[in-house]
Amino acid sequence: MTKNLNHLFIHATLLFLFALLLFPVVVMFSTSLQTFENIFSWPPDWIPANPQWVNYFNVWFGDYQFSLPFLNSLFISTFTAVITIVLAFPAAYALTRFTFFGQNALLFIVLVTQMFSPIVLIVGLYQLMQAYNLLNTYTAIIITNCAFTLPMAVWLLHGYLKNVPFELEQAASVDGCSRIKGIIKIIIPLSAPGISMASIYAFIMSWNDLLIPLIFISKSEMRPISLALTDFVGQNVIYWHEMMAASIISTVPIAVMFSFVQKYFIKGFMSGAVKE
Amino acid sequence: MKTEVAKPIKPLPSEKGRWRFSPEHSPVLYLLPMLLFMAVMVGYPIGRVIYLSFTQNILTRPDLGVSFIGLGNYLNLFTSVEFWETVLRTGLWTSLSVIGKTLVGFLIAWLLAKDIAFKKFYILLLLIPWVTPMVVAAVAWRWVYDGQFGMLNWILIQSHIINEQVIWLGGKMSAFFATAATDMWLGIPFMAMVFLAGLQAIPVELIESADIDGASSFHKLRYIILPLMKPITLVATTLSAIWTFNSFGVIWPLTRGGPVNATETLIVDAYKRSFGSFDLGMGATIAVVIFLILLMFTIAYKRLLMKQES
Repeated sequence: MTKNLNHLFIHATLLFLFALLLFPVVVMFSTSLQTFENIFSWPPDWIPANPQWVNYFNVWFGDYQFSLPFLNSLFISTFTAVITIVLAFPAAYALTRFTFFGQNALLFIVLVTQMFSPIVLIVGLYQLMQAYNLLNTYTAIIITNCAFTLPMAVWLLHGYLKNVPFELEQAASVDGCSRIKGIIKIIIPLSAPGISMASIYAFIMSWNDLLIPLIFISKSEMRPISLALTDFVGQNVIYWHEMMAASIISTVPIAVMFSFVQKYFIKGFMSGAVKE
Repeated sequence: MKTEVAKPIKPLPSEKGRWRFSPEHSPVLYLLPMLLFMAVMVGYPIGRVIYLSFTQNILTRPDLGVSFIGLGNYLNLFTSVEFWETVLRTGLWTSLSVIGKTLVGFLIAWLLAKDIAFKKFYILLLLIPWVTPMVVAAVAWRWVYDGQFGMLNWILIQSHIINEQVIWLGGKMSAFFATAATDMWLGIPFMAMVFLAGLQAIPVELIESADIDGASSFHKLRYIILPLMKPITLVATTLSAIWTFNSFGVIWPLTRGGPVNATETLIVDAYKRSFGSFDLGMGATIAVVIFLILLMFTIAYKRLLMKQES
Protein backbone atom coordinates (compact mmCIF):
# COMPACT_ATOMS: atom_id res chain seq x y z
CA MET A 1 0.00 0.00 0.00
CA THR A 2 2.77 2.47 0.90
CA LYS A 3 4.55 1.39 -2.25
CA ASN A 4 1.55 2.33 -4.35
CA LEU A 5 1.29 5.70 -2.65
CA ASN A 6 4.99 6.19 -3.21
CA HIS A 7 4.65 5.43 -6.91
CA LEU A 8 1.67 7.73 -7.20
CA PHE A 9 3.79 10.50 -5.75
CA ILE A 10 6.64 9.76 -8.17
CA HIS A 11 4.31 9.82 -11.16
CA ALA A 12 2.73 13.05 -9.98
CA THR A 13 6.14 14.72 -9.63
CA LEU A 14 7.27 13.41 -13.00
CA LEU A 15 4.09 14.58 -14.69
CA PHE A 16 4.52 18.03 -13.21
CA LEU A 17 8.16 18.23 -14.34
CA PHE A 18 7.33 16.97 -17.80
CA ALA A 19 4.45 19.42 -18.12
CA LEU A 20 6.98 22.21 -17.56
CA LEU A 21 9.53 20.61 -19.85
CA LEU A 22 7.15 20.01 -22.73
CA PHE A 23 5.33 23.33 -22.41
CA PRO A 24 7.28 25.11 -25.19
CA VAL A 25 6.86 22.10 -27.47
CA VAL A 26 3.11 22.11 -26.94
CA VAL A 27 3.06 25.86 -27.61
CA MET A 28 5.11 25.33 -30.77
CA PHE A 29 2.80 22.64 -32.06
CA SER A 30 -0.41 24.41 -31.07
CA THR A 31 0.73 27.68 -32.67
CA SER A 32 1.72 25.89 -35.86
CA LEU A 33 -1.91 24.89 -36.34
CA GLN A 34 -3.49 28.33 -35.80
CA THR A 35 -4.66 30.92 -38.26
CA PHE A 36 -2.93 34.29 -38.43
CA GLU A 37 -5.88 35.98 -36.65
CA ASN A 38 -5.84 33.35 -33.94
CA ILE A 39 -2.21 33.74 -32.89
CA PHE A 40 -2.86 37.36 -31.97
CA SER A 41 -5.98 36.70 -29.93
CA TRP A 42 -6.12 36.83 -26.16
CA PRO A 43 -6.69 34.55 -24.29
CA PRO A 44 -4.79 32.15 -26.52
CA ASP A 45 -6.70 29.42 -28.25
CA TRP A 46 -4.84 26.29 -27.18
CA ILE A 47 -6.63 23.70 -29.22
CA PRO A 48 -7.72 25.27 -32.51
CA ALA A 49 -11.14 24.11 -33.64
CA ASN A 50 -9.86 23.89 -37.21
CA PRO A 51 -6.25 22.78 -37.14
CA GLN A 52 -4.53 24.57 -40.00
CA TRP A 53 -2.37 21.82 -41.44
CA VAL A 54 -2.22 24.04 -44.48
CA ASN A 55 0.38 26.14 -42.60
CA TYR A 56 2.93 23.43 -43.16
CA PHE A 57 2.06 23.37 -46.84
CA ASN A 58 2.34 27.18 -47.05
CA VAL A 59 5.66 27.24 -45.27
CA TRP A 60 7.09 24.77 -47.73
CA PHE A 61 5.61 26.03 -51.00
CA GLY A 62 4.35 29.53 -50.21
CA ASP A 63 5.96 32.96 -49.74
CA TYR A 64 8.11 31.73 -46.90
CA GLN A 65 9.87 29.33 -49.32
CA PHE A 66 11.14 27.14 -46.53
CA SER A 67 12.02 24.33 -48.92
CA LEU A 68 15.03 26.37 -50.01
CA PRO A 69 16.77 26.78 -46.62
CA PHE A 70 15.80 23.21 -45.81
CA LEU A 71 17.51 21.87 -48.91
CA ASN A 72 20.49 24.16 -48.30
CA SER A 73 20.86 22.70 -44.83
CA LEU A 74 20.46 19.19 -46.15
CA PHE A 75 23.18 19.79 -48.73
CA ILE A 76 25.58 21.46 -46.28
CA SER A 77 25.08 18.91 -43.52
CA THR A 78 25.41 15.89 -45.81
CA PHE A 79 28.69 17.10 -47.26
CA THR A 80 29.96 18.07 -43.82
CA ALA A 81 29.24 14.56 -42.57
CA VAL A 82 30.93 12.87 -45.54
CA ILE A 83 34.09 14.98 -45.45
CA THR A 84 34.30 14.67 -41.67
CA ILE A 85 34.29 10.88 -41.88
CA VAL A 86 36.74 10.74 -44.78
CA LEU A 87 39.23 12.74 -42.72
CA ALA A 88 38.40 11.32 -39.29
CA PHE A 89 38.30 7.59 -40.01
CA PRO A 90 41.93 7.10 -41.10
CA ALA A 91 43.11 9.31 -38.24
CA ALA A 92 41.08 7.36 -35.70
CA TYR A 93 42.40 4.14 -37.22
CA ALA A 94 45.99 5.31 -36.83
CA LEU A 95 45.35 6.35 -33.25
CA THR A 96 44.10 2.89 -32.29
CA ARG A 97 46.35 0.62 -34.38
CA PHE A 98 49.73 2.31 -34.12
CA THR A 99 51.80 3.58 -31.26
CA PHE A 100 53.84 6.59 -32.16
CA PHE A 101 55.59 9.59 -30.73
CA GLY A 102 53.20 12.36 -29.72
CA GLN A 103 50.15 10.12 -29.73
CA ASN A 104 48.83 11.30 -26.39
CA ALA A 105 49.58 14.91 -27.23
CA LEU A 106 47.60 14.53 -30.44
CA LEU A 107 44.66 13.03 -28.56
CA PHE A 108 44.75 15.94 -26.14
CA ILE A 109 44.80 18.47 -28.98
CA VAL A 110 41.78 16.73 -30.46
CA LEU A 111 40.02 17.08 -27.10
CA VAL A 112 40.93 20.76 -26.80
CA THR A 113 39.73 21.65 -30.29
CA GLN A 114 36.53 19.79 -29.64
CA MET A 115 35.79 22.16 -26.78
CA PHE A 116 36.42 25.32 -28.81
CA SER A 117 33.85 27.93 -29.27
CA PRO A 118 33.61 28.78 -32.98
CA ILE A 119 34.16 32.40 -31.97
CA VAL A 120 37.82 31.64 -31.25
CA LEU A 121 38.49 30.61 -34.84
CA ILE A 122 35.94 32.56 -36.76
CA VAL A 123 37.84 35.80 -37.34
CA GLY A 124 40.84 33.91 -38.68
CA LEU A 125 38.61 31.72 -40.84
CA TYR A 126 36.72 34.76 -42.11
CA GLN A 127 39.97 36.31 -43.32
CA LEU A 128 41.03 33.01 -44.83
CA MET A 129 37.77 32.70 -46.77
CA GLN A 130 38.00 36.33 -47.82
CA ALA A 131 41.52 35.81 -49.14
CA TYR A 132 40.41 32.86 -51.26
CA ASN A 133 37.12 34.45 -52.36
CA LEU A 134 35.08 31.83 -50.57
CA LEU A 135 32.64 34.08 -48.72
CA ASN A 136 29.07 33.36 -49.75
CA THR A 137 29.88 29.85 -50.89
CA TYR A 138 28.74 26.50 -49.56
CA THR A 139 32.37 25.40 -49.58
CA ALA A 140 33.21 27.92 -46.86
CA ILE A 141 30.42 26.72 -44.58
CA ILE A 142 31.07 23.05 -45.22
CA ILE A 143 34.79 23.08 -44.55
CA THR A 144 34.36 25.34 -41.53
CA ASN A 145 31.72 23.00 -40.15
CA CYS A 146 34.17 20.15 -40.67
CA ALA A 147 36.77 21.95 -38.59
CA PHE A 148 34.35 21.82 -35.66
CA THR A 149 32.93 18.33 -36.19
CA LEU A 150 36.21 16.59 -37.03
CA PRO A 151 37.69 16.44 -33.50
CA MET A 152 34.53 14.94 -32.02
CA ALA A 153 34.24 12.48 -34.89
CA VAL A 154 37.84 11.36 -34.32
CA TRP A 155 37.04 10.99 -30.63
CA LEU A 156 33.90 8.94 -31.23
CA LEU A 157 35.50 6.72 -33.89
CA HIS A 158 38.61 6.22 -31.78
CA GLY A 159 36.42 5.01 -28.94
CA TYR A 160 34.62 2.67 -31.31
CA LEU A 161 37.65 1.26 -33.14
CA LYS A 162 39.36 0.39 -29.86
CA ASN A 163 36.75 -2.29 -29.42
CA VAL A 164 37.10 -3.78 -32.90
CA PRO A 165 39.45 -6.74 -32.44
CA PHE A 166 42.91 -6.34 -33.93
CA GLU A 167 43.24 -10.12 -34.41
CA LEU A 168 40.87 -10.09 -37.37
CA GLU A 169 43.18 -7.79 -39.28
CA GLN A 170 46.22 -9.82 -38.31
CA ALA A 171 44.54 -12.97 -39.53
CA ALA A 172 43.81 -11.27 -42.82
CA SER A 173 47.41 -10.11 -43.16
CA VAL A 174 48.64 -13.64 -42.54
CA ASP A 175 46.37 -14.73 -45.36
CA GLY A 176 48.18 -12.26 -47.57
CA CYS A 177 45.82 -9.32 -47.38
CA SER A 178 47.38 -5.87 -47.47
CA ARG A 179 46.62 -3.49 -44.64
CA ILE A 180 44.50 -1.14 -46.77
CA LYS A 181 42.59 -4.08 -48.18
CA GLY A 182 42.06 -5.36 -44.64
CA ILE A 183 40.69 -2.01 -43.56
CA ILE A 184 38.29 -1.85 -46.49
CA LYS A 185 37.18 -5.47 -46.30
CA ILE A 186 37.13 -6.02 -42.54
CA ILE A 187 37.42 -2.89 -40.41
CA ILE A 188 35.04 -0.59 -42.27
CA PRO A 189 32.16 -3.10 -42.36
CA LEU A 190 32.71 -3.93 -38.68
CA SER A 191 32.76 -0.29 -37.65
CA ALA A 192 29.77 0.72 -39.75
CA PRO A 193 27.70 1.53 -36.63
CA GLY A 194 30.49 3.74 -35.29
CA ILE A 195 30.85 5.46 -38.64
CA SER A 196 27.14 6.15 -38.90
CA MET A 197 27.08 7.54 -35.38
CA ALA A 198 29.96 9.89 -36.04
CA SER A 199 28.46 11.03 -39.32
CA ILE A 200 25.07 11.63 -37.71
CA TYR A 201 26.84 13.67 -35.07
CA ALA A 202 28.51 15.79 -37.76
CA PHE A 203 25.21 16.15 -39.61
CA ILE A 204 23.35 17.33 -36.49
CA MET A 205 26.10 19.75 -35.51
CA SER A 206 26.10 21.48 -38.86
CA TRP A 207 22.30 21.43 -39.08
CA ASN A 208 22.17 23.28 -35.74
CA ASP A 209 24.94 25.78 -36.24
CA LEU A 210 24.04 29.44 -36.43
CA LEU A 211 27.29 31.37 -36.10
CA ILE A 212 29.09 30.11 -39.21
CA PRO A 213 26.34 30.89 -41.77
CA LEU A 214 25.59 34.13 -39.92
CA ILE A 215 29.09 35.32 -40.73
CA PHE A 216 29.79 33.65 -44.07
CA ILE A 217 26.46 33.98 -45.86
CA SER A 218 24.79 37.19 -46.93
CA LYS A 219 22.82 35.90 -49.93
CA SER A 220 19.31 35.05 -48.82
CA GLU A 221 18.93 32.18 -51.31
CA MET A 222 21.90 30.41 -49.69
CA ARG A 223 20.69 30.58 -46.11
CA PRO A 224 20.45 27.35 -44.15
CA ILE A 225 17.49 26.84 -41.80
CA SER A 226 19.19 28.16 -38.67
CA LEU A 227 19.70 31.51 -40.34
CA ALA A 228 16.31 31.51 -42.07
CA LEU A 229 14.54 30.97 -38.75
CA THR A 230 16.33 33.77 -36.89
CA ASP A 231 16.15 36.23 -39.76
CA PHE A 232 12.42 35.91 -39.62
CA VAL A 233 12.24 36.90 -35.96
CA GLY A 234 13.86 40.24 -36.67
CA GLN A 235 11.00 41.44 -38.87
CA ASN A 236 8.13 43.67 -37.80
CA VAL A 237 5.24 41.29 -38.17
CA ILE A 238 6.19 37.76 -37.28
CA TYR A 239 3.99 35.07 -38.72
CA TRP A 240 4.40 32.93 -35.66
CA HIS A 241 2.08 30.19 -36.90
CA GLU A 242 4.26 29.64 -39.97
CA MET A 243 7.45 30.11 -37.97
CA MET A 244 6.41 27.32 -35.65
CA ALA A 245 5.48 25.07 -38.54
CA ALA A 246 8.92 25.74 -40.03
CA SER A 247 10.52 25.02 -36.64
CA ILE A 248 8.81 21.68 -36.45
CA ILE A 249 9.78 20.81 -40.01
CA SER A 250 13.42 21.53 -39.19
CA THR A 251 13.34 19.50 -35.97
CA VAL A 252 11.90 16.27 -37.35
CA PRO A 253 14.90 15.01 -39.37
CA ILE A 254 17.24 15.70 -36.47
CA ALA A 255 14.91 14.03 -34.01
CA VAL A 256 14.74 10.88 -36.10
CA MET A 257 18.51 10.67 -36.53
CA PHE A 258 19.19 11.50 -32.93
CA SER A 259 16.94 8.77 -31.63
CA PHE A 260 19.34 6.20 -33.08
CA VAL A 261 22.53 7.47 -31.50
CA GLN A 262 21.67 9.28 -28.30
CA LYS A 263 23.00 6.58 -25.99
CA TYR A 264 26.31 6.45 -27.76
CA PHE A 265 26.89 10.18 -27.33
CA ILE A 266 26.71 9.94 -23.57
CA LYS A 267 29.11 7.00 -23.60
CA GLY A 268 31.45 8.87 -25.92
CA PHE A 269 31.53 11.95 -23.74
CA MET A 270 31.80 10.14 -20.44
CA SER A 271 34.01 7.16 -21.21
CA GLY A 272 37.22 9.12 -21.51
CA ALA A 273 37.97 7.78 -24.95
CA VAL A 274 41.00 10.01 -24.97
CA LYS A 275 42.68 8.27 -22.06
CA GLU A 276 45.12 5.61 -23.02
CA MET B 1 43.96 -20.56 -39.28
CA LYS B 2 47.35 -19.57 -38.01
CA THR B 3 46.37 -16.48 -36.11
CA GLU B 4 48.53 -17.38 -33.12
CA VAL B 5 51.76 -16.87 -35.01
CA ALA B 6 50.75 -13.43 -36.26
CA LYS B 7 52.45 -10.68 -34.30
CA PRO B 8 52.39 -6.92 -34.93
CA ILE B 9 55.14 -6.38 -37.44
CA LYS B 10 57.80 -3.99 -36.20
CA PRO B 11 60.12 -2.25 -38.64
CA LEU B 12 63.82 -3.12 -38.39
CA PRO B 13 65.90 -0.04 -37.55
CA SER B 14 67.75 -0.07 -40.86
CA GLU B 15 64.52 -0.14 -42.84
CA LYS B 16 62.77 2.54 -40.81
CA GLY B 17 63.39 5.37 -43.27
CA ARG B 18 61.89 3.44 -46.16
CA TRP B 19 58.80 2.68 -44.12
CA ARG B 20 58.05 6.19 -42.98
CA PHE B 21 55.20 6.61 -45.44
CA SER B 22 54.27 2.99 -45.86
CA PRO B 23 50.58 2.38 -45.13
CA GLU B 24 51.53 -1.04 -43.78
CA HIS B 25 53.84 0.06 -41.02
CA SER B 26 53.45 3.73 -40.33
CA PRO B 27 50.58 5.92 -39.15
CA VAL B 28 51.74 8.94 -41.17
CA LEU B 29 49.53 8.52 -44.23
CA TYR B 30 46.45 7.90 -42.10
CA LEU B 31 47.00 11.01 -40.02
CA LEU B 32 48.15 13.31 -42.77
CA PRO B 33 44.78 14.38 -44.21
CA MET B 34 43.41 15.29 -40.78
CA LEU B 35 46.60 17.02 -39.70
CA LEU B 36 46.78 19.12 -42.87
CA PHE B 37 43.13 20.04 -42.59
CA MET B 38 43.42 20.94 -38.91
CA ALA B 39 46.57 22.96 -39.55
CA VAL B 40 44.76 25.11 -42.12
CA MET B 41 41.36 25.30 -40.44
CA VAL B 42 42.33 25.37 -36.76
CA GLY B 43 46.05 26.05 -36.45
CA TYR B 44 46.10 28.99 -38.84
CA PRO B 45 43.01 30.76 -37.37
CA ILE B 46 44.37 30.42 -33.84
CA GLY B 47 47.69 31.89 -34.89
CA ARG B 48 45.85 34.61 -36.77
CA VAL B 49 43.64 35.48 -33.79
CA ILE B 50 46.63 35.64 -31.45
CA TYR B 51 48.43 37.91 -33.93
CA LEU B 52 45.35 40.12 -34.40
CA SER B 53 45.00 40.48 -30.64
CA PHE B 54 48.33 42.34 -30.65
CA THR B 55 47.24 44.77 -33.36
CA GLN B 56 44.96 47.70 -33.74
CA ASN B 57 42.76 46.76 -36.67
CA ILE B 58 39.41 48.48 -37.01
CA LEU B 59 37.83 47.85 -40.40
CA THR B 60 35.52 50.86 -40.14
CA ARG B 61 38.49 53.16 -39.50
CA PRO B 62 40.84 52.51 -42.43
CA ASP B 63 42.48 55.86 -41.71
CA LEU B 64 44.04 54.37 -38.57
CA GLY B 65 45.51 51.48 -40.53
CA VAL B 66 46.73 48.26 -39.00
CA SER B 67 49.42 48.71 -36.40
CA PHE B 68 51.17 46.40 -34.00
CA ILE B 69 50.43 47.61 -30.49
CA GLY B 70 51.77 44.76 -28.38
CA LEU B 71 49.73 44.22 -25.25
CA GLY B 72 47.71 47.40 -25.82
CA ASN B 73 44.42 45.61 -26.47
CA TYR B 74 44.89 43.43 -23.41
CA LEU B 75 45.67 46.45 -21.23
CA ASN B 76 42.62 48.28 -22.57
CA LEU B 77 40.47 45.23 -22.01
CA PHE B 78 41.68 44.42 -18.52
CA THR B 79 41.35 48.02 -17.36
CA SER B 80 37.81 48.40 -18.69
CA VAL B 81 35.05 48.02 -16.13
CA GLU B 82 32.65 46.78 -18.79
CA PHE B 83 34.87 43.81 -19.59
CA TRP B 84 34.91 42.65 -15.99
CA GLU B 85 31.18 43.14 -15.83
CA THR B 86 30.86 40.89 -18.87
CA VAL B 87 33.15 38.30 -17.28
CA LEU B 88 31.08 38.37 -14.09
CA ARG B 89 27.84 38.18 -16.09
CA THR B 90 29.14 35.25 -18.13
CA GLY B 91 30.17 33.49 -14.92
CA LEU B 92 26.81 34.07 -13.29
CA TRP B 93 24.83 33.12 -16.38
CA THR B 94 26.85 29.95 -16.91
CA SER B 95 26.64 28.90 -13.25
CA LEU B 96 22.93 29.63 -13.07
CA SER B 97 22.24 27.53 -16.13
CA VAL B 98 24.56 24.67 -15.14
CA ILE B 99 23.22 24.52 -11.58
CA GLY B 100 19.67 24.50 -12.91
CA LYS B 101 20.42 21.72 -15.39
CA THR B 102 22.20 19.67 -12.75
CA LEU B 103 19.46 19.95 -10.12
CA VAL B 104 16.51 19.33 -12.43
CA GLY B 105 18.43 16.65 -14.33
CA PHE B 106 19.29 14.86 -11.12
CA LEU B 107 15.73 15.04 -9.81
CA ILE B 108 14.35 13.56 -13.03
CA ALA B 109 17.03 10.85 -13.12
CA TRP B 110 16.43 9.97 -9.48
CA LEU B 111 12.70 9.56 -10.09
CA LEU B 112 13.25 7.60 -13.31
CA ALA B 113 15.82 5.28 -11.70
CA LYS B 114 13.08 3.80 -9.55
CA ASP B 115 11.16 0.79 -10.69
CA ILE B 116 8.11 2.57 -12.09
CA ALA B 117 5.64 2.04 -14.91
CA PHE B 118 5.93 3.87 -18.28
CA LYS B 119 9.64 4.44 -17.72
CA LYS B 120 10.52 4.12 -21.40
CA PHE B 121 7.78 6.55 -22.33
CA TYR B 122 9.08 9.13 -19.85
CA ILE B 123 12.58 8.77 -21.26
CA LEU B 124 11.25 9.26 -24.78
CA LEU B 125 9.53 12.48 -23.72
CA LEU B 126 12.63 13.60 -21.88
CA LEU B 127 14.65 13.48 -25.08
CA ILE B 128 12.44 16.02 -26.88
CA PRO B 129 14.30 19.15 -25.71
CA TRP B 130 17.57 17.45 -26.61
CA VAL B 131 16.58 16.79 -30.21
CA THR B 132 15.29 20.32 -30.66
CA PRO B 133 17.86 22.36 -32.61
CA MET B 134 19.16 25.24 -30.52
CA VAL B 135 17.83 27.88 -32.89
CA VAL B 136 14.39 26.29 -32.99
CA ALA B 137 14.33 26.22 -29.20
CA ALA B 138 15.31 29.88 -29.06
CA VAL B 139 12.62 30.83 -31.57
CA ALA B 140 9.94 28.81 -29.79
CA TRP B 141 10.87 30.25 -26.39
CA ARG B 142 10.82 33.75 -27.85
CA TRP B 143 7.20 33.22 -28.68
CA VAL B 144 6.52 31.69 -25.26
CA TYR B 145 8.08 34.76 -23.60
CA ASP B 146 6.22 37.23 -25.85
CA GLY B 147 4.98 40.14 -23.77
CA GLN B 148 1.65 40.54 -25.49
CA PHE B 149 0.47 37.13 -26.59
CA GLY B 150 2.98 34.81 -24.95
CA MET B 151 1.66 31.62 -23.44
CA LEU B 152 3.91 31.97 -20.36
CA ASN B 153 2.08 35.14 -19.34
CA TRP B 154 -1.23 33.42 -19.86
CA ILE B 155 -0.28 30.49 -17.61
CA LEU B 156 1.13 32.74 -14.89
CA ILE B 157 -1.92 35.02 -14.95
CA GLN B 158 -4.30 32.05 -14.85
CA SER B 159 -2.51 30.67 -11.81
CA HIS B 160 -2.44 34.14 -10.18
CA ILE B 161 1.33 34.26 -9.93
CA ILE B 162 1.44 37.55 -11.80
CA ASN B 163 -1.32 40.12 -12.32
CA GLU B 164 -0.37 41.70 -15.60
CA GLN B 165 1.61 40.75 -18.65
CA VAL B 166 5.37 40.83 -18.35
CA ILE B 167 7.67 41.55 -21.30
CA TRP B 168 10.12 38.83 -20.33
CA LEU B 169 12.87 39.64 -22.79
CA GLY B 170 12.48 43.39 -22.27
CA GLY B 171 13.64 43.71 -18.66
CA LYS B 172 17.28 43.29 -17.67
CA MET B 173 16.72 40.84 -14.83
CA SER B 174 13.95 38.88 -16.52
CA ALA B 175 15.89 38.58 -19.79
CA PHE B 176 18.92 37.27 -17.89
CA PHE B 177 16.83 34.55 -16.24
CA ALA B 178 14.74 33.87 -19.34
CA THR B 179 17.77 33.17 -21.56
CA ALA B 180 19.31 30.98 -18.84
CA ALA B 181 16.03 29.07 -18.53
CA THR B 182 16.04 28.36 -22.26
CA ASP B 183 19.61 27.14 -22.05
CA MET B 184 18.73 24.96 -19.07
CA TRP B 185 15.82 23.51 -20.97
CA LEU B 186 18.12 22.38 -23.76
CA GLY B 187 20.66 20.86 -21.36
CA ILE B 188 18.42 19.05 -18.88
CA PRO B 189 18.03 15.82 -20.93
CA PHE B 190 21.79 15.29 -21.24
CA MET B 191 22.23 15.73 -17.50
CA ALA B 192 19.29 13.49 -16.68
CA MET B 193 20.53 10.72 -18.99
CA VAL B 194 24.06 10.87 -17.57
CA PHE B 195 22.74 10.75 -14.01
CA LEU B 196 20.35 7.96 -14.89
CA ALA B 197 23.25 5.90 -16.26
CA GLY B 198 25.20 6.66 -13.09
CA LEU B 199 22.33 5.75 -10.77
CA GLN B 200 21.74 2.47 -12.56
CA ALA B 201 25.39 1.56 -12.07
CA ILE B 202 25.05 1.73 -8.28
CA PRO B 203 25.07 -1.86 -6.97
CA VAL B 204 21.60 -2.96 -5.85
CA GLU B 205 23.10 -4.70 -2.81
CA LEU B 206 24.23 -1.38 -1.39
CA ILE B 207 20.71 0.01 -1.45
CA GLU B 208 19.24 -3.26 -0.20
CA SER B 209 21.52 -3.50 2.78
CA ALA B 210 20.67 0.10 3.63
CA ASP B 211 17.00 -0.85 3.40
CA ILE B 212 17.56 -3.71 5.84
CA ASP B 213 19.25 -1.30 8.23
CA GLY B 214 16.09 0.77 7.99
CA ALA B 215 17.56 3.79 6.23
CA SER B 216 15.09 6.39 5.04
CA SER B 217 14.98 7.59 1.42
CA PHE B 218 16.70 10.79 2.47
CA HIS B 219 19.49 8.95 4.28
CA LYS B 220 20.07 6.66 1.32
CA LEU B 221 20.34 9.71 -0.92
CA ARG B 222 22.58 11.63 1.43
CA TYR B 223 24.99 8.89 2.51
CA ILE B 224 25.04 6.41 -0.36
CA ILE B 225 23.79 7.81 -3.66
CA LEU B 226 25.24 11.33 -3.60
CA PRO B 227 28.79 10.32 -2.59
CA LEU B 228 28.81 7.62 -5.28
CA MET B 229 27.54 10.09 -7.87
CA LYS B 230 30.11 12.76 -7.08
CA PRO B 231 32.73 11.83 -9.73
CA ILE B 232 30.21 11.52 -12.55
CA THR B 233 28.57 14.78 -11.47
CA LEU B 234 31.89 16.61 -11.62
CA VAL B 235 32.63 15.36 -15.13
CA ALA B 236 29.13 16.13 -16.40
CA THR B 237 28.97 19.62 -14.90
CA THR B 238 32.41 20.54 -16.23
CA LEU B 239 31.42 19.42 -19.71
CA SER B 240 28.12 21.23 -19.42
CA ALA B 241 29.89 24.37 -18.22
CA ILE B 242 32.03 24.32 -21.38
CA TRP B 243 28.96 24.01 -23.61
CA THR B 244 26.98 26.62 -21.70
CA PHE B 245 29.86 29.05 -21.73
CA ASN B 246 29.97 28.62 -25.53
CA SER B 247 26.27 29.14 -25.96
CA PHE B 248 25.71 31.59 -28.78
CA GLY B 249 22.77 29.93 -30.53
CA VAL B 250 20.51 30.55 -27.53
CA ILE B 251 21.33 34.12 -26.60
CA TRP B 252 21.66 35.60 -30.09
CA PRO B 253 18.20 34.69 -31.43
CA LEU B 254 16.54 35.53 -28.10
CA THR B 255 18.03 38.89 -27.14
CA ARG B 256 21.18 39.59 -29.20
CA GLY B 257 22.87 40.37 -25.87
CA GLY B 258 20.31 42.97 -24.82
CA PRO B 259 18.45 44.66 -23.26
CA VAL B 260 21.31 47.04 -22.38
CA ASN B 261 23.91 44.25 -22.32
CA ALA B 262 21.91 42.27 -19.74
CA THR B 263 22.56 38.98 -21.56
CA GLU B 264 25.86 39.85 -23.19
CA THR B 265 28.26 37.02 -22.43
CA LEU B 266 31.89 36.91 -23.55
CA ILE B 267 30.96 35.00 -26.70
CA VAL B 268 28.33 37.55 -27.71
CA ASP B 269 30.72 40.37 -26.85
CA ALA B 270 33.48 38.89 -29.04
CA TYR B 271 31.05 38.43 -31.91
CA LYS B 272 29.75 41.99 -31.64
CA ARG B 273 33.22 43.52 -31.52
CA SER B 274 34.46 41.57 -34.54
CA PHE B 275 31.38 41.59 -36.74
CA GLY B 276 29.27 44.39 -35.28
CA SER B 277 31.77 47.20 -34.81
CA PHE B 278 34.46 45.48 -36.93
CA ASP B 279 37.11 46.04 -34.26
CA LEU B 280 39.05 42.91 -35.20
CA GLY B 281 41.89 43.58 -32.76
CA MET B 282 39.65 43.82 -29.73
CA GLY B 283 37.41 40.98 -30.92
CA ALA B 284 40.49 38.79 -31.28
CA THR B 285 41.71 39.77 -27.81
CA ILE B 286 38.44 38.58 -26.27
CA ALA B 287 38.60 35.43 -28.39
CA VAL B 288 42.06 34.70 -26.96
CA VAL B 289 40.72 35.21 -23.43
CA ILE B 290 37.86 32.82 -24.24
CA PHE B 291 40.38 30.32 -25.63
CA LEU B 292 42.39 30.42 -22.41
CA ILE B 293 39.29 29.98 -20.24
CA LEU B 294 38.15 27.00 -22.34
CA LEU B 295 41.62 25.51 -22.16
CA MET B 296 41.46 25.61 -18.38
CA PHE B 297 38.05 23.98 -18.39
CA THR B 298 39.23 21.30 -20.82
CA ILE B 299 42.25 20.43 -18.68
CA ALA B 300 39.93 20.14 -15.67
CA TYR B 301 37.60 17.91 -17.69
CA LYS B 302 40.42 15.61 -18.76
CA ARG B 303 41.75 15.32 -15.21
CA LEU B 304 38.32 14.51 -13.85
CA LEU B 305 37.82 11.89 -16.55
CA MET B 306 41.13 10.23 -15.75
CA LYS B 307 40.40 10.24 -12.03
CA GLN B 308 37.04 8.65 -12.67
CA GLU B 309 38.61 5.90 -14.76
CA SER B 310 41.18 4.92 -12.14
